[in-house]
Amino acid sequence: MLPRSPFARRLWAASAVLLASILSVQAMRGHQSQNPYAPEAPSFRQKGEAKAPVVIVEFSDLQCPACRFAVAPIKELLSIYDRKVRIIFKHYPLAQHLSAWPAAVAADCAGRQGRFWDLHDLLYDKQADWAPAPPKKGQAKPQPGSPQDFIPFARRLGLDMPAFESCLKDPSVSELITADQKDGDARWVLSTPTFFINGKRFSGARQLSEGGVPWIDKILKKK
Amino acid sequence: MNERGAFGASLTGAAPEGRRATAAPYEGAAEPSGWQAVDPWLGLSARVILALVFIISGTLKAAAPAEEFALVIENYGLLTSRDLIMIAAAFLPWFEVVFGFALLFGFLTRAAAAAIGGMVLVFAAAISYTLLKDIRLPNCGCFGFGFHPTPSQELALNAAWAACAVQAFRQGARRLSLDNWCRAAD
Repeated sequence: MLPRSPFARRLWAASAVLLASILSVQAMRGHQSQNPYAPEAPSFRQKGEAKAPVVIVEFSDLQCPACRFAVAPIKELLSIYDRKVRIIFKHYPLAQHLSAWPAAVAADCAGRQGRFWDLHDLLYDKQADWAPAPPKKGQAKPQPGSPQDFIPFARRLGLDMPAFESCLKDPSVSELITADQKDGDARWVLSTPTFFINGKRFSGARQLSEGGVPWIDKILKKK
Repeated sequence: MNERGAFGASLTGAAPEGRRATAAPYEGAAEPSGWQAVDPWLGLSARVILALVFIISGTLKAAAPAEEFALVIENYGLLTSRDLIMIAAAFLPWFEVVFGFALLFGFLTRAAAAAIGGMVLVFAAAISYTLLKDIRLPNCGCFGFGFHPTPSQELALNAAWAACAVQAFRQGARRLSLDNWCRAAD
């Protein structure tokens, strides 16, 4: 059964190496969740026409500095393509960002009053004021943030404060954020911000800035 | 000896029965002793350790979307062309996996050890560049997205991998290798 000529044995050996490589990568891919991807999000976290031909899904963390840099390119895309683009924001608070989850809760509570994007912009704009800097060597770890930390920002936007404060305690808000995270995990979101434009992935603001416009043009040309 | 026996013997570098094994390492030499006896096993250990490191790190990256690894490459600031970054992100992890398995199986052992040694040097140069330029990497991308060593830890690990690559290259396919099996053919 086994090949006897040196050439045939080399072919067998090369095939074994390639097969092992492919199998190990496929096994790792299979290990990850393959749940169907649901781009749905509450309407307050969506911008643009419901039937727009281009749908941008953004997985973002309000405490992540790189996500702050993606705000401008997204606004630019929305202004260039106007009614042809819809954006859906999904929360993906990273574990190392201790205030990211409460910030997401606060933003969704503002969203219930129709002001999600206002608080979103304000939190990114003032990120340095509420997001603790990463500790230097020898420094103690910062304390985890709380949704109440965002009350001053809500007040600044003139939100209905009793409704906002009671919303901060509502467990259904956190459930929505957990659902977003699960959705991100199912799509191998490993860093923030990650964008999907009609399914094509762009990781980070630079990939979005450089590749977003040509990709959207290509989609619109086909339609 | 049956075919399976000949296969096993050729993997370990011993001469298959009834034919001349051109690659038997110690043919005609006195029984090795002391360091000489240990050295090939050290070579095999270095080969296996290095191979497993590259298989694991390459698999973690190759299984993930290429755009994620492209983001890591972008952060180094060494490549500026988006196309080049995407090509590197798509192929580099696969090179790690394929050369890792080649080294593990002992196929083209020296070439695989040299290729992996070359990659180790390139990675060390890239990490040193970020240290010199004071670029703070959120993730070095070395082991996919699970384990994030600091740049200095990564340089120390690279030194260890380089030593393994040298040892694996020096010893070649002496023990448990497909190279020996291929050479032992008619």
